[in-house]
Amino acid sequence: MYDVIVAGGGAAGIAAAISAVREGAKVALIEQSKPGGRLLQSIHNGFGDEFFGEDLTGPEFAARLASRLVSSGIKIIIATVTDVSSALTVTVRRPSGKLAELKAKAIVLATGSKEEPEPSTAPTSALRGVYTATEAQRLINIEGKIIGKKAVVYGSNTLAVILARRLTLEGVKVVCVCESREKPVALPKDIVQCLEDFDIPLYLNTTVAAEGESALRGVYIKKALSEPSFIACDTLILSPELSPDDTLTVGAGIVIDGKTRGAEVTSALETSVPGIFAAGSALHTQTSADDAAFEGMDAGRNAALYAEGKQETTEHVRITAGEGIHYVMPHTAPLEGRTKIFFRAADFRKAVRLDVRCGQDLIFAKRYPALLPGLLENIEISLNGLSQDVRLSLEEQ
Amino acid sequence: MKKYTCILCPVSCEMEAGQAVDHGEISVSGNACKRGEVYARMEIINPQRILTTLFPVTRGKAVPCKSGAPLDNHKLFDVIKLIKNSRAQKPVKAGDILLPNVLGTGVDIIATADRP
Ligand SMILES: Cc1cc2nc3c(=O)[nH]c(=O)nc-3n(C[C@H](O)[C@H](O)[C@H](O)COP(=O)(O)OP(=O)(O)OC[C@H]3O[C@@H](n4cnc5c(N)ncnc54)[C@H](O)[C@@H]3O)c2cc1C
Ligand code: SF4
Repeated sequence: MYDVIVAGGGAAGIAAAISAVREGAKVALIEQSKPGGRLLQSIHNGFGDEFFGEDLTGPEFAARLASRLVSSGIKIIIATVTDVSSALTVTVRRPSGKLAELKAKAIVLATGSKEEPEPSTAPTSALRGVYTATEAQRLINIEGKIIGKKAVVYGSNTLAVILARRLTLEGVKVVCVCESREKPVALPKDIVQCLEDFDIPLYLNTTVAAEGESALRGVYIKKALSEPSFIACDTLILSPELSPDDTLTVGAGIVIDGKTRGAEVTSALETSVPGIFAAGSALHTQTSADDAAFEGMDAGRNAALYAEGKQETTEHVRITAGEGIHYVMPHTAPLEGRTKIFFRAADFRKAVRLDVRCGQDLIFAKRYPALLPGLLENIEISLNGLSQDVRLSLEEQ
Repeated sequence: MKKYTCILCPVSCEMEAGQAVDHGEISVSGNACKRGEVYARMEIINPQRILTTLFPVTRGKAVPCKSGAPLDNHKLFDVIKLIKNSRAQKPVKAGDILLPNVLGTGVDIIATADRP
């Protein structure tokens, strides 16, 4: 019997295990491959500013976190978690294929995210030369493979544009990056340093369809209101939006937020199933590794407190996303102390005011010169003595 | 005046910066913090970036590496070429200098992972 079992050993999971053990808990960390997660294949820099106070590459960030696992007393189990139950049991499949059941007093879900192709627009295809962005990044950065000569990237999230730059630096000609929406998903700074720096064109409002028999021959790209045009290429990278890996969440009967596709959580990062906590991109994607690590620290500590029976049960108020807000985190918070609320804007907005209302009453407001959908913002407010739901919304200035 | 996007943090400030024709004064606006101003100046004078890529290893998988400091943008592809024509010998440890003072820039190429 463990006090805390952490499922998934990326930035969030490692941080959760470390902070739970600091609280004196007996901790197991279950990882299916190698501790570090996505960071291990993200060889670029831009990580760690907030968590380590230093600009690091992904592998460096992972190594720093993982070094804290050494002689920490955390039991690292290499296995795949196949099931988590509301009775706080964890089923794992060992590399040998053998199934085992482990018991815990609290569980942290930190199994990261997965790519979900949009069936309507994504050229679903088993053609040779077509890769998902995660798979391509792993092949190039971990296996050291060269995956083609001429490529088109479909999707414009951080991973997509970072991959476009990686391919270019490895000598692959990236013809263009295409995005079906009218705005790129990645942050402006990543569009600049990954695409503009290398003169890689970004086509918005553009869909892509693969063409070929068994191997990719090229793609048809179709801009709004114009005829499709053919581009010959041997590589197509599909980079759909990432969404939380909800296999375990759904299996445990945890309530899911329709926007994030991750669990609904309290400010202690506890899900709707008592004793099960969640953190990192398993909870909401597009989180930076720094945010994932901070969340992991919180979830791990709170899981340890829960295991000790120290978690207080107080009255909670619901926090909801209104006009202009894509999602909020957490979904509920206690009526005492100060609460940190994270939110993401639904669209790119200039000169807006964030309003926090309880019923009709305005309880907090803040002006923003600009809000980007790719940026996770946060405010800290007091919810003392509130009796109704709290709602965040954006107002034009 | 030209538009610049600061790449130093996720906020991605949209700035305007320019150099007066007659004298060297560079004016910057739109930056939310001091780092943005320094960045915009460098974009005008000499744009630089941190380079990350894979460094070939003799009889082993290539090791991820980075430039220890930003490199002049116009030298990036020359540095990459040099890296791809080099071979590191195992064992490599994160932090090892793989190419010191690359192309006389004063910047080292450093391993960011281990290859035991
Ligand atoms: C500027 C920037 C750049 C970024 N660049 C990239 C990038 O290039 N590539 C990228 O991918 N992300 C990138 N990200 C995202 C960031 O790296 C991730 O959000 C963060 O690392 C997620 O950490 P995590 O611990 O939540 O998830 P992960 O790192 O995904 O960790 C999840 C872990 O759980 C394990 N796991 C999953 N399911 C199971 C199971 N059933 N049983 C056991 N173990 C399991 C996995 O093996 C993995 O190790 C970037 C973010 C920013 C802000
Ligand atoms: S100017 Fe400052 S706040 Fe704005 S993007 Fe640059 S570093 Fe970030």
